[in-house]
Amino acid sequence: MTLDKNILQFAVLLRKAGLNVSHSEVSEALKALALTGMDKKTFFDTLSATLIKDQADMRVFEKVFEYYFAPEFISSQRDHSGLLSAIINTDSQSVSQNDCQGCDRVPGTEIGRSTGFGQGQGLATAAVDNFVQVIKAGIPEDMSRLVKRGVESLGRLDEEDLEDMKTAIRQVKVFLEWNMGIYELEKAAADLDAKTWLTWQERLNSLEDKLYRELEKKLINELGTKALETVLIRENLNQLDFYRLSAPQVAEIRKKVSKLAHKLASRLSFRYKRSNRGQVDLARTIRKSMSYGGVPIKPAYRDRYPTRPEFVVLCDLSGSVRVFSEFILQLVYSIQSRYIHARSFVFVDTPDEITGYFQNREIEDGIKDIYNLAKFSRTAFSDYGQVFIDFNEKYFDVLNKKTTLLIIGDARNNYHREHAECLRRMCQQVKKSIWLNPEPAERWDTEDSLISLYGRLCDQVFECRNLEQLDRAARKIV
Amino acid sequence: MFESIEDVKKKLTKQNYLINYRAATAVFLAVKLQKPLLIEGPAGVGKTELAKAVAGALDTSLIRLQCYEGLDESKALFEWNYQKQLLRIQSNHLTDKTWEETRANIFSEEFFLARPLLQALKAENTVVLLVDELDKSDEEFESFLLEALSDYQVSIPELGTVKASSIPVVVLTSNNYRELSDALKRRCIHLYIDYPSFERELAIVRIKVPEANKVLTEKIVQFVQSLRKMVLKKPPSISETLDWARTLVLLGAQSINEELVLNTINILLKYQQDIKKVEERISGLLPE
Repeated sequence: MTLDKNILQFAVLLRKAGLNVSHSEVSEALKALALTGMDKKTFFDTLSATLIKDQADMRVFEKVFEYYFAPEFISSQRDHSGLLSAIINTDSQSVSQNDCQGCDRVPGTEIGRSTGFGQGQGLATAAVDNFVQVIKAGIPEDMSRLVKRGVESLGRLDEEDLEDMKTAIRQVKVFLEWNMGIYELEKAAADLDAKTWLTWQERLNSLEDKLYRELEKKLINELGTKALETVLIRENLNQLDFYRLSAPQVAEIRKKVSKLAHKLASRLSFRYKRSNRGQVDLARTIRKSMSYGGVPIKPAYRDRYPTRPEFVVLCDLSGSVRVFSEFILQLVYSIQSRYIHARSFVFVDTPDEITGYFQNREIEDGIKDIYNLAKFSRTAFSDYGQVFIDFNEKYFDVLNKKTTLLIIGDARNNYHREHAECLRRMCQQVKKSIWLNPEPAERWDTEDSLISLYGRLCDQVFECRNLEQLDRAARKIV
Repeated sequence: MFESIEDVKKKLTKQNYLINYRAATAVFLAVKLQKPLLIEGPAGVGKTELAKAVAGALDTSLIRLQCYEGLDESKALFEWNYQKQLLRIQSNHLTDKTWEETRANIFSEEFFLARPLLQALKAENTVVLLVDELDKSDEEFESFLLEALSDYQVSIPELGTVKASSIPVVVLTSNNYRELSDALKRRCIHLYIDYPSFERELAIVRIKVPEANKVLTEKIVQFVQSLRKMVLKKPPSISETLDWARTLVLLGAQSINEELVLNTINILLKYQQDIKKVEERISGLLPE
């Protein structure tokens, strides 16, 4: 395989991970490589300068680079380019160094996986001590070694681990006595100042990050290209299910949502108005023709004019869809500050207005206030029927023929009464009603989900479980 | 021209601009591949400085085009010197020249005002064209620029197509005020400059403010670095560090203490909320 092919394959993987890499950029990268050189650092810098055009993509790029150009992976492809050997060699040196220093195996590792319950006491203390020491010292090599040993404790990996990495991670953590270690550290930190604790926390986070990477690497080495693709597709924020997000991914999605909001805000939606010229307004022409006995003597015209839609947003904040609702609130309020007049309500089993929390505030502060101040939950279990009844009673006057009603929720009613007639009344009152459901469509109408019953009453229902779908839905709505 | 990445590094260091390997690679590639270099990063980390340093290192002049909302082609590319044209028409009026002659006259080079973009294209030698804060310009201007930058030529109705006599080194900077279009990004070599590491910032302060003594410099940088770890509306960047260092030297400080920091903190932080936040936690932030 030539270098060109390797780079092309690399670009394909980048695309799978959700980055935009065009063909011209790939050829640029190849031209650039001819100019620079092939030692690992230059290679990385050259590729990143030519392929990556957005700093936010850098993290994913680093990851793909690390996995794809890992010596184990590249050499597993029989015919890799000879040119790449330079990169591989520098890397394998550092790896073999690690091996020389050796990781003293804890006896009994190979026998089987720990289930998480009942670790031998004698072993446990050793592991905890080790863990605590590594965190306290914070030497990167030691951390990598610890993680490596932890992942090795899993033995051979299979498809199941790829499917459910969280379980595998948990097993490793149990093996390393992770939580015990954190407990010990917390105890120790109580006597020290806050600064040390913060550094330790930083190290814990980076250790966890390393753990994920190590596991992914091992998966890729043992399961090959397919595993690499699966791992990378998970990095693709645009297609990642909202309920699968990790905390840093939520932060990244936040940024993307505000970009989306920005895009939407710069687009205007159009309405029609009466006009002296422009398109023929058929309805009005015919109405006017009545006075001439049905002969359309004078045509009526209409024209489009830019306007702002008015929104009433009704968000389910119960556990299952909370993350998604927060994205929607963020979206609505980022747009609102520029164009749209919106009123918003949150509910679990009763609605409460939250519009005021966002006025002239940071979105994060607003969301925090909602949880502290708004009264939207009596029982902590969603009850859509009750919500619609209460909404009709208290807030019916916010709906009129100009508003768009946006309902966000999974329509899981916990087997309460549906009260569809109340929703019908609401939908009839507004110009347009839209339901966004963050659940995958194949789960709709299973168990206590009433989405088709409620959805029939709305003008449109969207499945909206990842950023791509949110983008599409948002464009249609605004 | 630059010969290698090391060469870039060496020449820019000579210009008192400390560059890391990553950035040097990007600069080298941009110059060699004749592609625009798009530099992004927070305000005050030295994006514009880099362009100036590159111009210095290549020993050519720097042509700067500052972008702002409402910047249009006539301000970026060229304009007819309207007043001068009027004068010529009036003076021709006194003689008995025909309209044909006048018309041929007033649309000639003499009445032509080349703006930065055209200047850069028409320059004899390679120049550095700095398009500063591109994100502040309108989207229309961005797409106009796209055409100019992809072929290094522009069409002017009265004069025909102007092709670059030597291809300029183009540097675009952006603060991410708005998202640039994918089409533009695709044509560029991308470089993100972040806040510098402790060692690099230390070296920068030493070069730029040599008057400050060693201990003071170290403490200054330590303090600024710890500020950046906090969640602030606008963390201090290198230019602020340098300003602060100069201020402290002027005040004759040998080291920093709480009082001194609180009195001069407004040089580092530009928002009242940030200042308040730091004031509350000042004792924990000061280096020992």
